[in-house]
Amino acid sequence: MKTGIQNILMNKIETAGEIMSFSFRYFREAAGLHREIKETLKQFYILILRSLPLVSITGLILGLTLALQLKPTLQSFGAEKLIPSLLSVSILREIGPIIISLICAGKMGSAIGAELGSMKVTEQIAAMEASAVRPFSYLVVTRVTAATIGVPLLIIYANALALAGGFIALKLQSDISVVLYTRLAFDILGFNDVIPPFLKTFVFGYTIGIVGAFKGYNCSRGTESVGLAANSAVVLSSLLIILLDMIAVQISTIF
Amino acid sequence: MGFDGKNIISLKSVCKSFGKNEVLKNVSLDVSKGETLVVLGKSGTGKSVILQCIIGLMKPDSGIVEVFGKNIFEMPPAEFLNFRKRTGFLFQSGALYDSMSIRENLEFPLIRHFNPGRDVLNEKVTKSLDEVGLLKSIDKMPSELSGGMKKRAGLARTLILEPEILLYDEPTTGLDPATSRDISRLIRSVQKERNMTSVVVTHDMECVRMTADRIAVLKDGAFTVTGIPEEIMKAEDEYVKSFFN
Ligand SMILES: Nc1ncnc2c1ncn2[C@@H]1O[C@H](COP(=O)(O)OP(=O)(O)OP(=O)(O)O)[C@@H](O)[C@H]1O
Ligand SMILES: [Mg+2]
Repeated sequence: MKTGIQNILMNKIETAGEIMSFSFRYFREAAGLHREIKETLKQFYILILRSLPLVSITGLILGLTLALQLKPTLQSFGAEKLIPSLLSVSILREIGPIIISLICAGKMGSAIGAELGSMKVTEQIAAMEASAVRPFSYLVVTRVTAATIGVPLLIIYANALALAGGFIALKLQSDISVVLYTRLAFDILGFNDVIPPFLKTFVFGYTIGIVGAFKGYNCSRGTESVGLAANSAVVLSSLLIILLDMIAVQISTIF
Repeated sequence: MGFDGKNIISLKSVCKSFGKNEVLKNVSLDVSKGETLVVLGKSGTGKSVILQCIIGLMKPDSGIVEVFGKNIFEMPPAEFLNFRKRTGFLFQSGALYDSMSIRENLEFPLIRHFNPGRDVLNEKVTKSLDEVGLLKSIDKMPSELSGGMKKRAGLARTLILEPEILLYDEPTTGLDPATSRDISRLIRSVQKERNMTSVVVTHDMECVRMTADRIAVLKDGAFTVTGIPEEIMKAEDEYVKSFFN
């Protein structure tokens, strides 16, 4: 007889396998993406618009508080001039991507999970299957593509706001010019501070889309499972983002 | 389209379980062209499961499902899609796409399959909605419709692809007698006008009387009796009798 833990473990492994094959299916069906441009754009706007307010506020405040926190410590070392470069490096490399991805996991992941979940429960997906209109392509490929492109764009935007927030914080307390701030913030940046972190945000976006779609598309019967699908989409994609981030950081230190 | 055999739908020894719950134990069934088969059975006996096996939404654990003379689970993808296009399915709930208006619900399968021009779309949608008496609700959202209207809209959406087979899952359940009769009448006229092959799952005896060419009674995971309505209605079996009282 299997123990409870063994059972749970087997279940997890099975789910992992299903998610893998679901993500491979995305790439197979993404070949027909040109037929879904209109719907992809629509989903893109919806996802971006829904997340925009929260992402904007978070980005701005992130830079603001970070600058305020760094200031006293660096001041005591007489290293105030380092604040802009410290800000830009930490925001671009790590804080921006991870925080905004987690926020998107909450916003987009739950939205995708709940939307597809309720379509599944009310047999709308089965109805699409039955009339051969390729629901996977219409529902999943479009949303996952939208998230894969949307999340990196939101992160770039939030990074810019965070740097602006940092400037505002410094400007309130000392007399630093935009030109100087920008020069200090950007001069230090190298390839490794910009490109690898940017690339990993696509992986985060894809993860958010795929996990949300998977949970919704495979939602079980009964209305309470819709809430469950949305919830577990957020939990799982957040966890995966943190794990993937760790891996990405490991990889980028090799170069 | 290439198929001129007698049995359009043919199930052979189909079994299906969910965990320990053996739902279908040995289901065999033949439906010939233009025929309407009504499936009777108590709630939970697996009637919806049978329909879902016929259209390939569920795969039986064993047994064969043949439609248009071919095993549907061995068809190449393109052929499988084509088979589904030729087979309509009316869901128990209507399964309307609730983010789209009724018009968009009907246009959706047409656009996905043929992408015709505006004029053709309008003409087909209008005609199909008129057929089910819902023309006035064309620009409503599904949430604004009553249960009976949803089923009729679902039927219109299914008919718009001009299927050769129609599978109805409890088309009249939960509706008042007058609306039920309207829907049964609709099923009847679709059969006559389009020489439709249909499988109707229902508990509604009036619907059975109006639509059935043949009846199959499902009990304990298999068909116990099949026959023309007159025979079935006279049957001695208590289980069968219970439906007609
Ligand atoms: N996807 C599924 N997963 C697990 N069990 C299922 C699934 N679909 C159906 N069942 C089970 O199969 C049995 C038959 O279900 P089905 O929906 O076919 O009944 P039915 O004859 O259509 O009943 P009703 O008249 O109430 O619609 C039920 O016990 C149900 O719990
Ligand atoms: Mg049913």
